Amino acid sequence: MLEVRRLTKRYSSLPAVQDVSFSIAPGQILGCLGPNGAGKSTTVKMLIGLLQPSSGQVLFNGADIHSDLVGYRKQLGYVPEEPNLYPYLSGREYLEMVGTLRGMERRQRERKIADLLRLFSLHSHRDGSIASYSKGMRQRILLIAALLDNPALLIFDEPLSGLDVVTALVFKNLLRRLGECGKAVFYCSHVLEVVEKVCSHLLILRAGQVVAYAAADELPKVRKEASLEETFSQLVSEVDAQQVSDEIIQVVAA
Amino acid sequence: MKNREVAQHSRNFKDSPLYQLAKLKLGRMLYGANAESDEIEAGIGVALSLLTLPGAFLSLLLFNKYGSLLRLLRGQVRFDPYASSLPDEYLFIVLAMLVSGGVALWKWDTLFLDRRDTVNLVPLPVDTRQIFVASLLAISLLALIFCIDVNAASAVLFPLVVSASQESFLFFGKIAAGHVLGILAGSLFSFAAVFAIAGVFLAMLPTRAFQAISLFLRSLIAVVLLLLFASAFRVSQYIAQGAVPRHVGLRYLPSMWFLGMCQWARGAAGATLRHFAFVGLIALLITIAIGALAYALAYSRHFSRMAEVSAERAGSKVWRAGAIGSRILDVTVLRTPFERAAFRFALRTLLRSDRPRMAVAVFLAIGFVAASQLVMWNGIGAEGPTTAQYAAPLVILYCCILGLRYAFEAPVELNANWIFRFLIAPTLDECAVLAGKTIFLFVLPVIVAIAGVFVLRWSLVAGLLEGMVLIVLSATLIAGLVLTFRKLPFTCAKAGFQHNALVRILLHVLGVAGFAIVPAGIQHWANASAVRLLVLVPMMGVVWWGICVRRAEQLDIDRQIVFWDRGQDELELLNLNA
Repeated sequence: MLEVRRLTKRYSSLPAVQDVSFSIAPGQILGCLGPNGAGKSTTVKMLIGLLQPSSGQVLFNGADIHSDLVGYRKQLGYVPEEPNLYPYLSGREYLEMVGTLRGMERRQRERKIADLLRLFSLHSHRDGSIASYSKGMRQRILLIAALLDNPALLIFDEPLSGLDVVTALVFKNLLRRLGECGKAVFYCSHVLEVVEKVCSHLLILRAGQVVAYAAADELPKVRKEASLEETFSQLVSEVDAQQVSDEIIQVVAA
Repeated sequence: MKNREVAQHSRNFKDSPLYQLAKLKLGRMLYGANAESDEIEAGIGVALSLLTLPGAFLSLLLFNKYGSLLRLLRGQVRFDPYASSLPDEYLFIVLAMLVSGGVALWKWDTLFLDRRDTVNLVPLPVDTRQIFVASLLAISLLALIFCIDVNAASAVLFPLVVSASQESFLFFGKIAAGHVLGILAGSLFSFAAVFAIAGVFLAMLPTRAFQAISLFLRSLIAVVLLLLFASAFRVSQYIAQGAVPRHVGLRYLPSMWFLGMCQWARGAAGATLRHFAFVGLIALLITIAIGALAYALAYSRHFSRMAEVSAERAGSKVWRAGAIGSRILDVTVLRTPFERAAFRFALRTLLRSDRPRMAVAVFLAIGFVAASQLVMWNGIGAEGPTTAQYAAPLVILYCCILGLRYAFEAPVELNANWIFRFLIAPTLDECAVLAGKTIFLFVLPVIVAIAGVFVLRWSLVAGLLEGMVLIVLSATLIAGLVLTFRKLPFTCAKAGFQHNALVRILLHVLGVAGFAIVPAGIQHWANASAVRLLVLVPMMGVVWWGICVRRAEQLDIDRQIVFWDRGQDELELLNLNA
């Protein structure tokens, strides 16, 4: 469904992402891991067509996404890292706007919005302005907006930030079910535990380059390490976590 | 059947992307670029109401001039309403241009699409050309809304006032048509001109460079608008005297072009005004075309590439220049850690944040325009400074101090100040002291510069005396203004001046007399002998005594509010270990 070929992005000759290649088939959940500055968000922005790659291609069903961006985005649901919504709109108004711009039929749109608001525990807040929402509530609005039009491809960039424990649990199960329903999911996160439990495939980035790309259960075996955490530490960590934490304690106590 | 079809069409239109996007953009412009609270939402209604007031007041004030009985009592038997109303029309046109241009400056940040739009709209299946068209449509609607709002009251009242003593409805129609055409064209031109200037610079410059010069540009446009307003009374005198053809410079004033349009619509324009009307029409069309073209260019250059531009603002470089100066301040003025930390916070916020910079720039622009008018109308003294020359620096300082005081009360974005909201001042009036010291340190360079000008223009003694007087008067005004200040600058949750803005404006206008006009008169009187300046000592003594008494009373009130008026605890802990 989605195929990324040698994707590269340079900012004034400095490479942010270099030669990244991977593919996501229907039903697959690809988890993308990497430390800060690894190029995860840049990759996501290129996947949704927000950034033009310096070289390489993003293909959706065999065609370059830039050949028909509007058609591609009709099939795409996206949750950004920051819930940067319009604060003067209410949650329902925002979703109405998204549904309308997605070309959804009125009755179907209204019914889906009402149901999803209820299921994401936002029904009682639906007419309050987004300015009064907590970060978790805004994140839930973004999740609803991404799912509203039943897209074939879902791209989540740190969707769990700010979510409460119950919604995070629901989301983890939802992610698994989306995969079972045949959706292709690209899931960026810092939370190894969730990625390990939910994703079928893993992509690990470091300094803009792919350092590992394999099926989730195979990666530790290939690397001959006990867990994903160990694998991740070995692949991307440049510092000894234990040593740094000891030093922080020393500085704080000084 | 027809009703059902109309309802269906209306629903279809509301479901169209163009409608949704235009509605979204209009909302963003009305409620502010980054509005995060309901208070701003409430503000737009108040703003729309306030904007109708100047036109309404001016119309009502003119009733005295056009009432037939009053004219008869004054002995004005021959009265040509077309000619007599022309100077007033000019005032209305300038007022409409000032307010519309001011609104465009106010909404400057929201006129163009930003990062929030990119993140929210680009991932949706919407053609970017549709976003462009919808934005342009929304801006045109905004211009129309404000133009109608600003001119609505005067469009009805002024023609009624002028034609009150006339029996012909045709006369009323002519006056109304001319008036509406003149003020609407003036308003549209002013709004479109500001929009075109912003668009041209945004299309030409990189985003960061545009952000860097944005404040300067806005301040410059504000000064031009205020100068146009300040000159309106003199120009209307020329119009009343029929002296327009004699003053060649007047033909370059856009307001004169729209006066020509007004008189042309009345069917009473001479050759000069007909020419002005033609120039006005061409200028209006060109300005709108340039605005639309520049917007298209800016859109194609910036919107698609917005995701690539770093969020870092142009003005966010670390300010390191005054390292030695800040150490000197720490030893001499800022004596507690609280004052040092909060002063640096206030300084950096003022230098880097748009909202407070804009507030101070607007006040300074008003001050410079008022000061320049004072000097221009009252002449320049060769021997010693005139009263106007003494008053001008005081007016600038007065506006600067007021601007800083109000900027302190306007909250900056939460992510910039959250840490200071937790900080509690050690004593009740420490914030007031800090705010006073901060304002004083900000205006001190202005005082030094003014004193320097006096030294260069007249003598060292004149400069020193001027500097001394400015320091004493500024310190007194600042002490009075910060009496009730109980927060760190820029960290108030809600701007207090919103509740009694009109009363405050009135008080501040009256305050010019106390701060600038009276002391300037005394300074001029002291030109003969500097000893005469000692008259200021008892006057200042009385003012400071009043401030001290008021401060003590205010502290008592605040202590009662903080410590005595405490409600019962709502939460009780069960001591299960007992």
